[in-house]
Amino acid sequence: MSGFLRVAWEVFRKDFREELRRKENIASSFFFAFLSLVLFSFSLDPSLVDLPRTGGGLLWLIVLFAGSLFMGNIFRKETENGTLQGLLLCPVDRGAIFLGKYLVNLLFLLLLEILLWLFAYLLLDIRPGGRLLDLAVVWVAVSVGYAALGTLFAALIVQVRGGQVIYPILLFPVLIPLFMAAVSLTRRVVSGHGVWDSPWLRLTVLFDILFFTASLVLFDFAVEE
Amino acid sequence: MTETSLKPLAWAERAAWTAAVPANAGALWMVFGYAPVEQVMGEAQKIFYYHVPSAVTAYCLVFLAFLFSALFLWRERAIWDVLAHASAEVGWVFLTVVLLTGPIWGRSAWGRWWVWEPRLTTALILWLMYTAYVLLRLFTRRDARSARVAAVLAVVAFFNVPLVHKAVEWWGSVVHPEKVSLEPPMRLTFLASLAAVLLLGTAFTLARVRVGLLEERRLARMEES
Amino acid sequence: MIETVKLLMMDAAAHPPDTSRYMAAAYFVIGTVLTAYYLFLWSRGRRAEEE
Repeated sequence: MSGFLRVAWEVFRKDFREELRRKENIASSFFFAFLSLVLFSFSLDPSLVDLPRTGGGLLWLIVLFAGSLFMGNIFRKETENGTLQGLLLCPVDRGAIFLGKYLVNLLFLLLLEILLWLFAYLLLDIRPGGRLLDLAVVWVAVSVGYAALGTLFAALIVQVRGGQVIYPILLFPVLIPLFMAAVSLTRRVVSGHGVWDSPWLRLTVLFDILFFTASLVLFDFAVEE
Repeated sequence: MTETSLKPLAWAERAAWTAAVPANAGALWMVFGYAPVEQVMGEAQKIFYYHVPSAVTAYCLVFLAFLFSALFLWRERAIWDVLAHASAEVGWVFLTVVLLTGPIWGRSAWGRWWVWEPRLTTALILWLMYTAYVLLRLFTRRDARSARVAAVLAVVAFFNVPLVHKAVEWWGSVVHPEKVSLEPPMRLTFLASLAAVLLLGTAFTLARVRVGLLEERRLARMEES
Repeated sequence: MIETVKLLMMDAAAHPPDTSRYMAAAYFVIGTVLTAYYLFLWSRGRRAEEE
């Protein structure tokens, strides 16, 4: 077990460092998110739209798009260098590789959400209704599930022709229940209610458990040559 | 797989069509000539007789797609992949029928082409997931790797179905249990059309399997030469 | 909002609205989709057999 976690940690550490070194994936995704925020601001009529209340849905949409931009590329380094096969040939549990990559994606998503909400507050006055902790819970709960499927599908498209383009097409429909939960929970937070008793939170947790496990198991099949 | 004869399959397919054609002719006669006209919605209610059975057929096929995909991941025999692909594709066709007939009926009954009510919304999300599957198979080569990718997608999509149901149900905030009570002639007609559409689904799936196997053989022949 | 739907038999005195064109449209769509798919399968089958 400790060997498994150690490998996962190694994969995470190496990948994290590589992403920071290359910057292109992180930078483009963050900038895209900010750009989307600005564009959405232009597209809405503030006199008609109650932004503090409906803004949550908007922000999750941005997380969806920017998140998929980043996560879709998580195996790019290996495919470009041709090192994916090498990585897979290592006598390690492939689940550990999945976990390592997954943690990089999870970290990115959480960072994205924090920054996005910060800028949404600055630009559009979208506030977490005084319940920042509840909002953080939503971030974590949603990101855990999103990162799982995002990582799995990133592995799936590695050798698919035009994989980058088809990645969101494959991923987004499956994420719809999670997305609905994210938006609903955020609305509750913004309107001042707690999230702990919401059935949506239970759905999110169920989604997370189901798809984290499924992704861990299916990852093996996804990367098989 | 190239050695197995396609004769039993062709026979089964022919049997299915032989059963399906008169069954549907009979069902259609019952729909137009026997079933009474509903009081509130008029003739448009008769769309129900093919709309609902199409949904039932689609659900059955979606389940089969999951089953065959899982079998393919477990034991990589090409026949499971062909079966999975056929089930998913024909299921998708019937989902398309559901999504096209639903709004026509809806327009007649509610005055609007689309209402975000649970059944239609679930059908839409399912359709999105399986369109992704169909597109994936369209854009990828016919090799083991692509088949595995598709199989993983089919498994994930199926796991998602109960979550989609729950999420859509809660999203519509007020749950309206649609109680349908059918007078005997209507119930009889429904049973007839249900059987007819299921037979049709079977025939189409067997046909699609046969086409799939023929194409596999052709591919094998081309690779040998 | 969808209310409880009760499907009743036609009452001789009642006059249901004439929505037959919707019914026709729907069944036409069903026929077209299934026929199109059938033709698609047929042509793919033919192409796979020739060779």
